[in-house]
Amino acid sequence: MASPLRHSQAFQQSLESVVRGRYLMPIALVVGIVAMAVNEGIYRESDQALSKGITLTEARMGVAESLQHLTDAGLYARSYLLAGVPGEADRYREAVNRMYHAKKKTFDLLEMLDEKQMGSVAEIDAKLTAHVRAMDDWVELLARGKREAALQAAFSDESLWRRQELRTELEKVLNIAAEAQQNNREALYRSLFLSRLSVHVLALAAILGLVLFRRQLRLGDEKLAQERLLLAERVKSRTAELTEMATHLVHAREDERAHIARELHDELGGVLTATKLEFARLRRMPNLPEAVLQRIAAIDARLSEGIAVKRRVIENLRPSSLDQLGLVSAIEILCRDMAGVLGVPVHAEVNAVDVEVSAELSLYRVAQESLTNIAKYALCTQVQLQLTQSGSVVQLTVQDDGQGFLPDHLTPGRHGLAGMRMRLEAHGGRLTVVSAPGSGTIVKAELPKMTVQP
Amino acid sequence: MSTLRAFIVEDSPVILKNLTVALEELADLRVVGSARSEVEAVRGLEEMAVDVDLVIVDVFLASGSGLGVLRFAQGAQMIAPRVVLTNYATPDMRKRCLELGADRVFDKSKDLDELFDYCEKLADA
Repeated sequence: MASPLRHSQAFQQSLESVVRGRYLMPIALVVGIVAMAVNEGIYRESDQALSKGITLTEARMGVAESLQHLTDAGLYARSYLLAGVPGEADRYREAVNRMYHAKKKTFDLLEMLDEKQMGSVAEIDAKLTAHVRAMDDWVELLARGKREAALQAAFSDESLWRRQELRTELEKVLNIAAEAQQNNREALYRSLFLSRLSVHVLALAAILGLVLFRRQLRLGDEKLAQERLLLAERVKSRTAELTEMATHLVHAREDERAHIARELHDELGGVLTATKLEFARLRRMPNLPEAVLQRIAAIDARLSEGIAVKRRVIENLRPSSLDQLGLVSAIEILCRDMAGVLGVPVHAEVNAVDVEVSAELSLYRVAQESLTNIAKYALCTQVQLQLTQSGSVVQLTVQDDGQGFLPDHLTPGRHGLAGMRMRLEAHGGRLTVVSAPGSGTIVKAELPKMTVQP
Repeated sequence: MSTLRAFIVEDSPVILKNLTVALEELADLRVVGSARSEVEAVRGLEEMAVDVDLVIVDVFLASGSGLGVLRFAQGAQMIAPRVVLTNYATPDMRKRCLELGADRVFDKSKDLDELFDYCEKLADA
């Protein structure tokens, strides 16, 4: 049942392989050349057949004309013999001349056609000449006054028979010519038929070629579209992978920092504070000499310095204010601290926002990094920081009125912009930096609001 | 006048031990309970609310926050005063602690003597 289908499929496949392969062009070329050669051959043959047909027609007309003039000559000759009017003799000669003229033209045409079936033209020519000479003899005899002899010769059986024979011969030639013309006409029809066939074949081939070509174009387009889709898919998955990796790195880094901060706080902090407590107890021991108390106070002061260093290191690793006081307070504290560092006012408008804990840290880091960049490069007179939530978007903006820069000319990886961007993208957000030399800088971080977990 | 009963919320065992020894040595005070995390502290304070005269709270805990402990105490309207002993006595932190009902905020690195004085005073009162 499926056999014809399979066959057609196999045909389609092999056809397709031909179309797609490198043989298509040579095949098309060969087909085209063959078609042209065939058509050209047919044209030539037809042309030849047509001119031959015309020649044959002329030859037939010439034969008929010759016969007519011969008959006329015979009639005029006999008329002259019977009536003796000299005008008839002149008419006779004119008819003979016309006959010769027509005959010559016809024989030339026949020779040109070179038809073997025509029989011997020379034989007919000889018979014709003999017949004319006989008629001339009658006229000659009459001119010499031998009227009886002339009449006898003119109306003899021999003369009749010769005339009859000549007429038969000429009619034979006529028939052969007609037959040849019929053959010729058939050949012409065959040529025309072939020509028609070849044109049809060529037209069909052209249509088929066009269909195949369009099909190939369509298949090519489809393949291209498919590849494009695949590529887009790959880019998407690759981007997702990269984002995931970036997220992982960001989290890993923050986790590591938090871990170190925790260790420093728990272990070192515990030891330092415990030591501090020991000193407090020692100092309160009774009867200690003043010198010892002074030494203790000095060591205690060093210890306090150590604790301060530890605290600063921990704060840099992980802002404790964020964990303890929340994002709003942490950023407010950050702004206040940075205002001290910058020596210019930092106007902060910080609103409570709904984001995950990890995103809070990212927002804090963006604020921190932006303010650090301002401290390093901006040379501004004031800074504005805004944390707002509108709809489902949480937005942090840090704007300065400093010297600005060309964001496109920034060395990647510097200024922590790439890091900020990565952090935000990890939370499904984005970072926008707007700046130009002389017109300050705006760093805008956008994050989606936390989705409420059921 | 009876011995001051103190409850300490502190996640570092070393500090807890030293603080206990120091306080008991320097003031008429006995540490009756301690906790390492916010949850633990809240549970402990719930149990012995009236049997505690002083609560000393560290802000940074193993889990949760000392601020949560203060909030609980404030919500429970504890009579016993709460004091904060922290490494991060920034102005903001101080403000927040006082808002949450802390009586005093002491910096671990420089206010230890003040803490002892405070305890002494409270014990004498």
